[in-house]
Amino acid sequence: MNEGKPHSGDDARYFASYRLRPRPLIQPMSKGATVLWQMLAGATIGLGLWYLHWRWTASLNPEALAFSIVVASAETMAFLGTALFFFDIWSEGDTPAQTPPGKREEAGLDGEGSIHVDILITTYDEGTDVVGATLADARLVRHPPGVTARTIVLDDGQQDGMRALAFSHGAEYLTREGNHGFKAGNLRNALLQTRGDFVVICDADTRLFPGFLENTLGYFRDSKVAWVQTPHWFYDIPEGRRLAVSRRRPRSRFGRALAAARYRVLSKARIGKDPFLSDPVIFFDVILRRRNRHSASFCCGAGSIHRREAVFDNALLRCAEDLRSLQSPDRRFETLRHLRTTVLQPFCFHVSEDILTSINQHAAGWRSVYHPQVEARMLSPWSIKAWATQRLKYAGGTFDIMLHHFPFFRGAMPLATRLHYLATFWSYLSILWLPILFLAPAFSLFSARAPVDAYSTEFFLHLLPLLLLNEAALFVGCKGYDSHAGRVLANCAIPIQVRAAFQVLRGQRPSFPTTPKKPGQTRDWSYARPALVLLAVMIASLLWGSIATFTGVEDYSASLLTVNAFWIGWNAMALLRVIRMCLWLPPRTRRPDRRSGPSSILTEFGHVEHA
Amino acid sequence: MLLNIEPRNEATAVARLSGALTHVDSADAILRAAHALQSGGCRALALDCSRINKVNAAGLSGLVDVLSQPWGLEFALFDISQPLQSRLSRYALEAVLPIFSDEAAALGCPAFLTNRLAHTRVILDCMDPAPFEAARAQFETTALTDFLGKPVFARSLEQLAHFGVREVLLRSDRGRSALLGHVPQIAANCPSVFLCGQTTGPADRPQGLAEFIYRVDQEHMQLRGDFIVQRSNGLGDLDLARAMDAHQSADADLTLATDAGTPAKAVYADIGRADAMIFSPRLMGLIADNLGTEAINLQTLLRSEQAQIQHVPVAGNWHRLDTIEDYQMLVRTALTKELAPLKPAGECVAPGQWLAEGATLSHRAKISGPIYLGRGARVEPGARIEGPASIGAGSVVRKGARLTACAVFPDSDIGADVRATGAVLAADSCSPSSTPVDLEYRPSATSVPIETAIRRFGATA
Repeated sequence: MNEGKPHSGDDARYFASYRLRPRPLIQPMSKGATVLWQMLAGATIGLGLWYLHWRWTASLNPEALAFSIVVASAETMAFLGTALFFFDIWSEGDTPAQTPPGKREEAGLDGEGSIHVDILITTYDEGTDVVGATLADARLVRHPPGVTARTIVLDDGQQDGMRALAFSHGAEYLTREGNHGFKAGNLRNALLQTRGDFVVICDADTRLFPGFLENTLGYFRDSKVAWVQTPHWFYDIPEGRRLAVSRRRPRSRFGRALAAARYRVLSKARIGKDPFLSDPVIFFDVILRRRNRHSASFCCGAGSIHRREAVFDNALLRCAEDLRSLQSPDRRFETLRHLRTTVLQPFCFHVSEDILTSINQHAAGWRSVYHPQVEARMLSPWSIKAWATQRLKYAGGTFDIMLHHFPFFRGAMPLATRLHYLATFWSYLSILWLPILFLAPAFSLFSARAPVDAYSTEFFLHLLPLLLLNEAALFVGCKGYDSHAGRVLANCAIPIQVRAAFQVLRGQRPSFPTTPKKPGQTRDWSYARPALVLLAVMIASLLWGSIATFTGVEDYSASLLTVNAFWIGWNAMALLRVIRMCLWLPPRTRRPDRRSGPSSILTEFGHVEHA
Repeated sequence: MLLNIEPRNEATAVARLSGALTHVDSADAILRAAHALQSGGCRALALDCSRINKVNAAGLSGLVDVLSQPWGLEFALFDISQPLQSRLSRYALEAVLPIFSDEAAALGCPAFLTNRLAHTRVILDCMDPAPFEAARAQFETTALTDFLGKPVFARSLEQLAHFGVREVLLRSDRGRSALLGHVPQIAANCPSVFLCGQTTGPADRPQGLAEFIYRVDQEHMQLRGDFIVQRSNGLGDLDLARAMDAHQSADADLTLATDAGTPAKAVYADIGRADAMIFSPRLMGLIADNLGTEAINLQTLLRSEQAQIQHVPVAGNWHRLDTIEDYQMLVRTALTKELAPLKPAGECVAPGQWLAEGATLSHRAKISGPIYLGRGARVEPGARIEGPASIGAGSVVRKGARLTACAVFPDSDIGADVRATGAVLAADSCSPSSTPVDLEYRPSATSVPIETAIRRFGATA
């Protein structure tokens, strides 16, 4: 692993090979598709209720009642998760874009003069080449009339050369002693030394497009808008390679039609695409975008722009809350002493500082806006370690919030917003039911006990329509994006999420590791161990079940074997994905393909500047 | 924002604020003025907020940030303008910040602590012997007993500094290096510290507190005005300013301050139970008049002279360290709750986890719950510690040791295979690493006191 070291020339070439990738233009969902999706979702919920009713009243296996109840409970919880997810993504509700405010009062700001924006680039151990590219792009950001902006590098790692790098790009530089509070502490340090009315939060690798301010500032004409979040677009996600499809022209008409159909299907398939399932398009374009209808999209850190007033409003609310919990009101001077031990936190000092700050701001009555178009590009996790670090961080942070700052009962938050947050937390609670559903087929094959009374026609009549309709609903609801990847991701992150849950339950606060941004150059098998063990158990159960069925052991049947083999195969796909992640290495780097034309930087839709 | 400073006396000033509080650095003028005032000896600054005409969250955050700076200057706010009032109401800060209706109320408030004791001399009595065996073996006195990285007396000094006390006399028969070596560890606004009570031999030793006070008055410095004798037998917030107010308003000869839980009857019966005593000049005169060649007992003197004594129970989180259970309970409290006066020394590396300089924690050691590692402490790979636990400076927790809710004194060596739960471990009670020891102390299951457990622990080793 070369994390923490400067980029090698190979890495630089690797990045260069992605430089020309155009940013995607995100389309809204059509009215027809929305109606179809809502019909399918409604039907799925109806069928789900019908299935669960049948499951609890007519299908429990009396010979394995405990096992049957456990599986039915897991299915019920999974269904609740589906229902919450469907509510989450029920319909789009984009906030209409507006022209940027030219005067302070148009943005709900006091005073006179121009509107000031600070672009804050946080860095800890990222290389100067990564930060340099970010700075270069920040310099190209256009300022709407009446708006001034400055770029500030917030260096928490006190790295050699970072100050000079910042100055060479016309940016300012701030650092501090230590790194208390990590990224949130770094931002706090900057916010107490700067005066921008709005602050843009960028990670070291967040490269803004020139229109960022023009396209986001307009939303702040509503003075209750606290922040605007833009989608994360990982511009370096490996695209994989296409399957080699023979384009030989068959002689017969039927052969030609078959070949054309085969080409149409196979030419879209790619080998090695997005090995870590990092592409967050479903999260941003489906989940967050649709939460926007209730102004319930939460902040995801990088690529967001915040109203300073809202940020400090959050800091004061939290500070007052802390003080009230520490002291009785009649000893107010002692409050000052406690104030000296607490820290004003504009962004909460938490491993999931972005979501916790969002919850607090929503609870305080602020609104959020999700801007659907990509306005920045960034780097994806580049190794299984980076992927696992990020997952552990997300899960640990979410469980910690769930336990200590559960938003469902917070402040003046509207019910719809609470439900959206509940959907997020419920998805992380899948560690309660996914392992059961994951291991149930293997248990079934080992013990010859089925979770249902019988794999009868009635069972398939109840289950199959639900599964098929659910798949169709997800396909349409997720705008054709690969929703299967999300489920694979949920399954293969189970061990990490379980670990995070245990850490939080044992009172350990989740740590603040930075996500490595550099490619891993060696394979790391340690993360594959749980998957390999589970896979071995599944294969063993399959072998055991097959032998028992074919040798005619009592209680084993072909239907038991077939149904469980299907689910084992389904689950094994997720496990194999983890193993694939562990095995993945960046493709051999080569110089950018000269045939693709001169080196260029895409700055706006359809507008290419030659570098 | 504009600022106009009006000094009231040597230790107090009033700052009149006017204009807009709309930027995070708007309150920087207060910061600069406060630095200047502090260097001139000012200890208290009252902020007149009647002319603040615009406030937003960023500006108020800047003000709160200034108020939260760790310096020895106390603030009070008074005459709050409407824009500021509405902001403070939004955050319910008016209930927790020291806000007063007018200047007189701000300056006259008994809670304006710093100013109240700025000219009061305090004798910090460090003669209490360490009450529990484990501490006695190492420190002899409670004052020197290490508490999460600082000796108890150093924490008392910090508290006194907070009240604005400028001169503290340490009563101790320990060497200069034993006590004053710890003084630099405390806050920058530490009062001047004078070491008294050292004697040439047993014959020279003062017989009791009265004679000690008399000697200090005669040989070192005159104890003019009311002065305080505080025992260094506990930790926390003992509201001396409130006790001083009560003392002055009652015009008492001697005021006995204790925490709220101590009954007055017990204190009158034995004035030694008081956590702090405030002496009046008249009582000092009585002591001087009666102190002849023979030693006098202060309690006898008070009775014979019919001195006016009053008992003042003062509210606050005051924790006496009379037994080892007290010590352990206080360690737990300090690690699990954020109590400012009991904050562990060192850096908070994660919520509930403090590491002092030079402490090393193996990444293969298992740590859970709140924990404090003292200066140079070492936790070896394979050790397992469940908090709340404190590992004293220079201590080593060896591979395989398992400690649950334990307090380890400095320079202890916790051997491999040690299992201890709810114990206080000291250097002489620890086993060599080769000796397997299994110590379990469960307060709910048995009535064995922890001291017994430690003795058993030592005996087994």
